[in-house]
Amino acid sequence: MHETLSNLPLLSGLPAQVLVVLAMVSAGGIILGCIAVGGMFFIWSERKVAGYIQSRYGPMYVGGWHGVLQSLADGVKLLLKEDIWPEKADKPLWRMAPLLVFLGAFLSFVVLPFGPNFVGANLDIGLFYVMATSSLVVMGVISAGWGSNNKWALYGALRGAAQVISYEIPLGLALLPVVMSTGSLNLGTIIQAQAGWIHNWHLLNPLFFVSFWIYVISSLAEVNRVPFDLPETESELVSGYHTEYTGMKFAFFFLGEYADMFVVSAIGVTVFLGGWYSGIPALDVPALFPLIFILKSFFLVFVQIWLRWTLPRLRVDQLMYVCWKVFIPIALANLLLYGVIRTVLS
Amino acid sequence: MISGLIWFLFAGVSVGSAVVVATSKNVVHCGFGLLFTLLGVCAMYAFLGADFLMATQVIVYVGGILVLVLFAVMMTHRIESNRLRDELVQPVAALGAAALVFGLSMLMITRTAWDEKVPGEALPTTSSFGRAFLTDYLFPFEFASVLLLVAMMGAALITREKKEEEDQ
Amino acid sequence: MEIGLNHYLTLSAVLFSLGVFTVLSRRHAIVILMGVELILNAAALNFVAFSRFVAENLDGQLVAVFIIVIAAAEAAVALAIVLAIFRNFQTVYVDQVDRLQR
Repeated sequence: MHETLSNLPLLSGLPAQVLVVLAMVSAGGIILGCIAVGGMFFIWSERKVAGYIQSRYGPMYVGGWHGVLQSLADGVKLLLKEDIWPEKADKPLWRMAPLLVFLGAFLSFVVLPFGPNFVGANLDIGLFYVMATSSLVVMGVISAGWGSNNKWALYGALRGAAQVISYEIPLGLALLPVVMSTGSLNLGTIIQAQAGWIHNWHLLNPLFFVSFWIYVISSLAEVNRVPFDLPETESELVSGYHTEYTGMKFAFFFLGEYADMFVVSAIGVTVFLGGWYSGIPALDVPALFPLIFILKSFFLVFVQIWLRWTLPRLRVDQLMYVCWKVFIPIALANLLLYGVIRTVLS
Repeated sequence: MISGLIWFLFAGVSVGSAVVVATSKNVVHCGFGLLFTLLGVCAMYAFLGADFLMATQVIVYVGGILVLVLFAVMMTHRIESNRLRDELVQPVAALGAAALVFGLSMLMITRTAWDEKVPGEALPTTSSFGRAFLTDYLFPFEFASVLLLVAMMGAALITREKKEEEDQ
Repeated sequence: MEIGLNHYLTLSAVLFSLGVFTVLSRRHAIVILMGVELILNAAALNFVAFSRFVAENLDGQLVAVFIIVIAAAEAAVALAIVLAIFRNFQTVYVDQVDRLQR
């Protein structure tokens, strides 16, 4: 990227090292902008979908057409709000928590492949890296729950941490058969294995189909969405670990959560739904790749929103039962079966 | 030059937070200090071109061990009774011993003529890892998995509540 | 400034000494465990640095992976023991656990 910058007439005289720093800063800025705009769009669409599911309109006034600028207005409101903290909060941890949660989402965005040449960092360990960044979110949640010095927040944080680290196991196991099939953790390589007609998508392989459902359901738990929103249950824990946050800190939690929703959807699209390929070879022109990728991810985000306003919440024991006694055995059996079939066929 | 500065930044983060682990009186602060030390070491792995190891470090240490440690901290205290403190005992003697260890290692590091080579381009390591684990390192790899299984079973056995004994 | 082997070894020595200090100066069992993690991390960092600057192969990184595995197993068992001690003695300070039975 710094080579592109050095070709700009305004910057051509600067030394290379300054350009590298400029390139890093601008790449970070672009990702930050994407997260902010995308997050605001998701919040607006969540409210619209919720409205239509409940036979009402949702936001209608700000910004003219169907209240599209509602989230922007809310964002300005959050920015201008007074920053209140609990008197006995553990201040360093309390301040750090929103940053850790946001950092986890931000770092995952770096590797998302929007197109063959349209990816922040084409890491060889892409998929593994995305799994790793979600660990930072867990630490942020614990830090928020502990720092708030509030028992609801602490309950929410402990539930959240237990849930996320449990569901990371079926999530990873569900992705492994695809990794075995493509022989790479690189997200671009995984997508390129699904080129051509729609039947090449991993979703349409029977074993990967099982993996896909385990992945989608586990990813709901991973980002604390209904029916697995136990860490922030509004009706019992008064929204859990971010109860005590207002203003900008709350906005960071909120944006991080929606960015995480997009990240798990984008990984689902990458691994199972053909990534940037449309499924019809005639439509696969490079200019359309980012659009196709984003549209498919938006569809999975929409499914998450749709489920939130449709399903009731599970109990903690039901949540853990589904993870340890249903998903992990199925995912392990699936992995073994795929390995056996692959060995026999080759 | 710039990568050198960034290196010192990350080294500073890991040392500074390790100092927090060593000296903070609040056990939870120690845990979060350890988080940043681990992330600093993870950045060092990135500088050393160990990409697979970097992700493993974050998944296992941060996502696994550290969460487990913090859970244990919260389960072994009554949260209300502000007992989450740990004073330093014998700090002078401990400091002396640590300084001795540090001095000896620094002596070792500076006196030895390392056969240091200029490293080449860092290549992706994941496939080499896979190959090594299934060929030259097959036995340690299988042994490690058995060790993990035994550790998991042992931990579950030790922590299980013994119902009949508690009736006495 | 070129970052060489000695930089990594020095960093590792600092982390190792801080780990030793933590283990020696604390009574809280979990903080002692954190000190042990510091020591293990310092050792793993040394292995990886040597594998890059001296050996120029992957063996050091493989050893570091095994160190991480051992650390995970050790943390699981040690924390289980801490929980058991807490249930029996209502304390996690290692100097107060001085009886063979409850």
